[in-house]
Amino acid sequence: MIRGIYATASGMGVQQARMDIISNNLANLSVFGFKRSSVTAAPFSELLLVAAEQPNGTKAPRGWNAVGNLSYGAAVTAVKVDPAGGTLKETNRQLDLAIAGDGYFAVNVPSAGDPGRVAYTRDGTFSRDAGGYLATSAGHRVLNSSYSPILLPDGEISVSPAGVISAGGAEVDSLAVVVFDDANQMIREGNGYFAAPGLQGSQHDNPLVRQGFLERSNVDPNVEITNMLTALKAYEAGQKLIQAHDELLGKAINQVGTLR
Amino acid sequence: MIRTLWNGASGAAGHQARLDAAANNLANINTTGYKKQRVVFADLLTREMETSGRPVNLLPGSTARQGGGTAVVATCRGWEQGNVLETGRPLDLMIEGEGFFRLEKTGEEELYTRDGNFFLDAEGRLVNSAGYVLLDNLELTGAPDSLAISPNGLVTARDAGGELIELGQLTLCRFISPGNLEAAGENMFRPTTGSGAPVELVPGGEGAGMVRQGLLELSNVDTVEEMTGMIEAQRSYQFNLRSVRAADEMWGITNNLRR
Repeated sequence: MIRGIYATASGMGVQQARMDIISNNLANLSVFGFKRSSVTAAPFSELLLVAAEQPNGTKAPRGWNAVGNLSYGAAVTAVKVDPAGGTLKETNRQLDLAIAGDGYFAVNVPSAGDPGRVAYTRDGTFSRDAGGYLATSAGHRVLNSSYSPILLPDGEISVSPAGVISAGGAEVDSLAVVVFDDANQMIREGNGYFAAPGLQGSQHDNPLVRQGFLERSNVDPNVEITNMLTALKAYEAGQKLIQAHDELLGKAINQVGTLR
Repeated sequence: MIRTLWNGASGAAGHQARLDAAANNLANINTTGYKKQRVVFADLLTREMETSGRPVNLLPGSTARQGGGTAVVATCRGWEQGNVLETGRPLDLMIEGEGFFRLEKTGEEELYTRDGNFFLDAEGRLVNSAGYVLLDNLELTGAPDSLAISPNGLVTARDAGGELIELGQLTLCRFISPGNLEAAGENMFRPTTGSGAPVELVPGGEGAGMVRQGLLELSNVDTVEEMTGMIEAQRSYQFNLRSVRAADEMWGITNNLRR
């Protein structure tokens, strides 16, 4: 019975984890380029339940007899980023870019000890920084297909669907749009950035870059609210189970073996 | 549950900021030279779920990172050209294209504006409604009606005898990254390290716009865009309050575990 209480408690913990992720998805409903996360959970590694006696009451030949598998509860096994694309929103700003196909913009996000570190993003809210380079809203420089910053010339900039940047009809540079085979293995870093440690990326040859558009988050509030309800009800069911176990324990303590 | 609560709160606060920006844009729909504001969000720092007390048993090669809600990273301006309002007033100026008027005031920092609604002060200088002076060295003598400013910024007027005199040259300032200018109130902006230093240019040269006299630039606020944005922000705000309520309900369930 104590075992049941702990198994239920771990299940309630998983529902809390689901709720944390759902609420984070909803908080980022309006963040351009945001990708929703989802929780996957599985039973803890199972144990073999054994009995010392056989059903007919004799001792088991090896000293024990297998009854069946038993699990001690549930645990979160992964939080996965859903790489599905969001719908595009027209903004008509010259340096708002969206990728209609697969792939990520590459951005130089320096970290301590690694000034050249590259992170990836789908949020194309770009602008010129004070040095004239193309930069994200957090101020990090966007990279070209050979992974160096893009210096924008003065005046009107146009970006082709293939990611080629031109000014006044002359080709200036081309954006890095990197595709990964295992995009859902990417690690969320905050600020719209993802890290891709150990993942092999390659330049997308036709990424369908749309100028004057931004990609909305791929969060569907209907799905999130529905998931929120199921998580809440599962959590409530956990409460009832723990209370039932508590009652059973109460009976064992107070009623079993009493003489009236 | 605390995480759920704060995620919901941060989402609600972020959408509140969007509503504020939309309300501000709508309030300034008739402000000349006003540029619409927009709020840029990003998701907040993430951490590993193992450290938050949840039961976690990772599959090989997977991660369990949870986000910390959302935050406003920047409010930036849309610098698109606003609509034209014809006033016929000789002291109304409009910049067609890029650039800002540079304004000065004794004892104050230099500020920059797109709002070309000027007046004459007692000393014959062009000032805006906040008392900032355009072209410090210009002193208008003679009739203000005779003031003429060419598209290239040459300021001329007729003196008492009807003679055409050259009063000065109006210049415009450009910034490499106008999105990083800081609002200084009264429709004026101040440069920051992010915007770069002002580059002074003759109107019509090197990417600077032309000066048009007798016209004003209206705000570039689009009512339909603001209204749809407002509806979206308000609904998103409600969704995030559902997260807060769910956290509250879960807390109630936990509190009633022991009857």
